[in-house]
Amino acid sequence: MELLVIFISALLINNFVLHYFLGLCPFIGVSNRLDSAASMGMAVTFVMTIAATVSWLIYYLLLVPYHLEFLEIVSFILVIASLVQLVEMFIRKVSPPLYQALGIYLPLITTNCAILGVALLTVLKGYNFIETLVFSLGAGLGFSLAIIIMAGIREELEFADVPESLKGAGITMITAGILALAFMGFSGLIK
Amino acid sequence: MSRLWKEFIKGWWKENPVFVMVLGMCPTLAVTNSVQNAIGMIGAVTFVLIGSSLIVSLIRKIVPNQVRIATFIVVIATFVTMADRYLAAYYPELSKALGPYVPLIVVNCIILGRQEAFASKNGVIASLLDALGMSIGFGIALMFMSSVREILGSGTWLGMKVLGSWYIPWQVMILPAGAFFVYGFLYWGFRAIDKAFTKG
Amino acid sequence: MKESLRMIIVLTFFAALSGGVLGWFNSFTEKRVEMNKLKELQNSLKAVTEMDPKTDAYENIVKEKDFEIYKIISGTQVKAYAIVGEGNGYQDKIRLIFGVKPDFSEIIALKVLEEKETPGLGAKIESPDYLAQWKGKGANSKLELVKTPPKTKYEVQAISGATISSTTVVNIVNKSLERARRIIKEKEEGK
Repeated sequence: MELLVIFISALLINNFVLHYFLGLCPFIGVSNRLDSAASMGMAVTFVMTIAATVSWLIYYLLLVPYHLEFLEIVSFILVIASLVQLVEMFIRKVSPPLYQALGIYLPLITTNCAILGVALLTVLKGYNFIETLVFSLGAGLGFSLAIIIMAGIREELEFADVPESLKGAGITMITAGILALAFMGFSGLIK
Repeated sequence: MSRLWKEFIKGWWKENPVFVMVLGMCPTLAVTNSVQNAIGMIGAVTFVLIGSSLIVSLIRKIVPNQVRIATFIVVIATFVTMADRYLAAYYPELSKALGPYVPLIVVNCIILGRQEAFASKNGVIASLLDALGMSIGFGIALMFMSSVREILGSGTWLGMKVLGSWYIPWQVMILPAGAFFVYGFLYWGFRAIDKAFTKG
Repeated sequence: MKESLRMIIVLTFFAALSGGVLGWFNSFTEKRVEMNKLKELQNSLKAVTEMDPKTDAYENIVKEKDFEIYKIISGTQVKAYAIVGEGNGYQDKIRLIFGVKPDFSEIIALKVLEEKETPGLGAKIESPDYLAQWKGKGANSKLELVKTPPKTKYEVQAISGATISSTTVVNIVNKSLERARRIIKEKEEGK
């Protein structure tokens, strides 16, 4: 089942954070607490899926037929920026409790390279609409998985004796490196 | 004159975008597996940063406040597209190696960060120097990262063998995990050195 | 009201300016990008079928996302077929091209187009030593992967430490050969 391969690949084997290095800013910034990590993960997955599919539609229904592929970057980023605005307004109106949980993270997501990254990669890999949907879902969940695991580890690290100059980004990145090594074990999972 | 000089060199060390402000991580980790790729990225980022800062600084008085981020993004995206298309046309091998990371420069926090924090509030000359200084700081960081990763991971530097055949390449250095490790340790070193100098 | 109008005008102006500049810039780079792609294709065809670009012509008879067939014509004779195939390797997709004699008896040569396998292990499928063994491999029967030096022209030696990558290459070739043979036969019969 090719779709399953795409999903597992995005989720584990070619994990968006630990393999493609996308979404690092929120990854470093928001992974210090489990609950905020989980919220960020949910928000990113949600926006990623919508952004990737909408960008796909724009690319194949608008840019390609009119031979405007060179406007890919400009149009994608404008779409993503507006999408995030709309999603924020929508959630605020429809579900205030959900807005409470996710709301503050949404504006941060616009410049999250993971969102633009998914959109660009789906075009690069030539996925069709369903494949794009599956891919972005897997990518978002992969991001969530990585950030939640990282948050769990960092909460424990609070009690460890980290050298002063290594605190913050330093120790987070080294931990991420170990995580990346661990995730390499997933390679060869699908044949 | 000395104020302009300060704007220029702050990006090299004190406000190094990669090791101090921790911005623009995605390309830093992704393309530093070889020095050649790093140089390609440094060129692209420098082009985009200088071009965008120039334009943003020129138009800063006529852009209404609410749409400034959107306008900056359009300006940045334009320069990024030009860099991307230029590489695809004249350096196809490099373009393929850098892949989606050149288009991703458009969401690189360094670029938007400098527009928001500096170019939109300062004159053209100052903004140009700020952009150039930040690019140099970015370049220094990437050259360090890519040199360490390529020498340890492949035994070469810019494709030329520097370690004899006695050296068994430390594969993990050119893999994603290695990128995280090298960054972590360089970050540590950077902060420790900085601290030692500011204290003493 | 005046403020919102000004906002819209400024943004639209810059968006239009951006589009214009990019359209103009693109008109130069587009041609070169096309030329690069064409040159790359010709190089690959030459590498796997010994095509002589000065005297031979080629025709693309099948073009799908993960499968292509090119007919190499010398004068009025079919000199060879070049087949492009894809498959899932250890880390990500492997894409390769290989040339086969017009009677599908033998493989002329093989070249790996895209791979993201482990450097030093799976990535060795791009090394000249590994690729050299593909010259003259049998194409009229299924190829088999072996761990020792091949005894027949239907055996392909795996790269030690890279079993999955090696297996994928053999599978792609077998699968593509079968499909190409069927398609060519149908075309011949259709004539």
